[in-house]
Amino acid sequence: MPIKILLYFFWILPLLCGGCYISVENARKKILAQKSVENNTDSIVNQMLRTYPIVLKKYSTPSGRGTKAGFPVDYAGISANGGILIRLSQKKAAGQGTSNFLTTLDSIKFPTKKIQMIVGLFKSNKWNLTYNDIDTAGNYCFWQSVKEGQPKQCDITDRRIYYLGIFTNNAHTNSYLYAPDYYETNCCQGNLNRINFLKINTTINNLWNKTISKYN
Amino acid sequence: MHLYRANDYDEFSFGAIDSNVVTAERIILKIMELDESIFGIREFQLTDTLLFDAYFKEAADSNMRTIKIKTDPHSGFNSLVNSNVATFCQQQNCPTSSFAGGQSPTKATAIRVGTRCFTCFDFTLTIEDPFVWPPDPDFTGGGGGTGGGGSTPPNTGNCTGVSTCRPGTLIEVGRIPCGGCGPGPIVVVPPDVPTFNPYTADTVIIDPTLRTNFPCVARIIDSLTSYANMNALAQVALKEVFGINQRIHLTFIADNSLPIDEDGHTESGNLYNGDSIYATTVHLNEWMLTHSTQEYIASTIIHESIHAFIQYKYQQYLYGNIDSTQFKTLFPLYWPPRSLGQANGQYIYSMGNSPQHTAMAANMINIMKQALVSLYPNSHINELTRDSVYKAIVWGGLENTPSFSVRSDTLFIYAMTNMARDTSLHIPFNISLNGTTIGNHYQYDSHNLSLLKSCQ
Repeated sequence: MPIKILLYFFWILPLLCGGCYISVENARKKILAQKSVENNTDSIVNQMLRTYPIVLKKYSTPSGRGTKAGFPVDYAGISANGGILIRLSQKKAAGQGTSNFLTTLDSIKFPTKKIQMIVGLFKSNKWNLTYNDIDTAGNYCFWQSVKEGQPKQCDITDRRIYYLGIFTNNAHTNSYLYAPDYYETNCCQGNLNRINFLKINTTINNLWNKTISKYN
Repeated sequence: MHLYRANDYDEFSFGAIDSNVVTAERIILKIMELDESIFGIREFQLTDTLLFDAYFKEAADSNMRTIKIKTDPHSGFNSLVNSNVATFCQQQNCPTSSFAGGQSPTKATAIRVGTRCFTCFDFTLTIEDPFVWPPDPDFTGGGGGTGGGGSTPPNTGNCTGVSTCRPGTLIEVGRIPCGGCGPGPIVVVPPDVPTFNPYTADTVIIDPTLRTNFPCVARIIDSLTSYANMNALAQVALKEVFGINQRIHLTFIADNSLPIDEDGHTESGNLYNGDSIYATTVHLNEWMLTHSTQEYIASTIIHESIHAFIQYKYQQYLYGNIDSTQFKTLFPLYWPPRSLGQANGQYIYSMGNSPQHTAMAANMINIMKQALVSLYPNSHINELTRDSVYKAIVWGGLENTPSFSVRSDTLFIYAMTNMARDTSLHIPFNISLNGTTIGNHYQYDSHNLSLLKSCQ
């Protein structure tokens, strides 16, 4: 679906929510405080920012063997009044011997309740929006284990790297996490950056999974 | 003189290992001694839950128990006596947390080996020294032998053959058939389950999920096993993993739970101590085994095996089995790695995913490529083309390394890994990275390069 047509649907917004506005504004301030110096060149993000004060973008790729295409890419437009989820996917065109890929955009509503949960995460001062542990994922677990009196290493190879970008009109942050689910569930718990990312990731994926199972 | 056969042990009472009469445990210890001194076997898996039961009490339901000898290799049974020499481990369900690799078993230590978890504790054998073997028992059925003192009478007399065997009473490694009393040769039956068997030095286990559905994986691994050029690091690694070093125990499994874009991964694995067997599991994505070229699958197996090798060496370093100089020699660009801190007087380094890929990218590309050339000479294309394509294929998985980012042929590498990974691709095809199309490729696909199709 062309992006222009899609954007018409963005204007259908739910009723206003005063408390949500404050939360979204707080989130914007936090993003501004931790912003990256890089320019945002993602055209979908820029289109969405015309309607939504905050846009999240996430995707993942294998850190080891595997294709690095990075699809699907998920976008979440967030405002005090509601939001939208957009998924950019790449599928091979049907037909013997064809190698053409079709890039498709799908969208679903982002329920206000879920948005409130996500903007609520920004309340914590300890959440580092530019967290990057691609090279050092095991370090947190090592130091946690030192605190607990039993130093141990906890590493795993060739799992996925997750990207989370958080965008406003003036600033954006980039975060990269290596195997956050493995480290949080199998290795050591309590890394707020991983926890918050996993909450966002799970929330968005569940909403898509629900939609897919409903229509498939 | 009396000949004790391995499966005769349960003719005697089960009980203490320091008994002054023959017990089942004493016979098993004697067999362990022979296995250790002759074959160098230092780890034993028990399937009879009655054996050493007093020492495994805490989890009586366990169905998997191991005994590991902790003395110096081949030092003989006398060194087992009166010293802290054995570690008993038994399997238990893995909890979701608090188990991790890299731990040495101490008293009641929880450890993880691959997907299995064990509780281990050291044990001091207190058999008298010198070890005095009691007189042969009375085989007429009249009593417990001259040792007496708590040993129940051996259940001898008429042999009733196989039907007398209780399930799970066999020692898994080189097991002896049931019911074999009386004259005749001892026949060693190989295990019928895919467990590590030092008698046949099967250091690589190919899971039935692979052997049944993807037979060519077995052929690839066999080919790698016979491939050798000891002058190069990765070849040493491959040789150690696939053939020579019996202390690396790799299990390959087909995994259908992995996302389509992920080829596989290697579990962190574990050593009980620096001298023991390193066991880990390599997961291979079924999608890849079905859709990729054999060259690509072989390259993935090599990549994952090198992860296993690096982890093995690092754990050996942690246990003090090799020193930092040896480690540095193996992985020069690893050194000095990022130090996480000190624990128990030893530096702990960050040796995770990223530094391992850095080492591979910096040191091993040509060597991995040579392994592919050896496996798939491919006479249909000229050497120059073949070498550049194979080199690109082995770069797969190393795209996040500093060595990759400075290359000028990254688009070619992405194209070659994509086409080798997906045999349905035909030129021209586009190349995407992180959700964005970055280019198109018009020259090569797996068909015009005559690469071999999938592993089914």
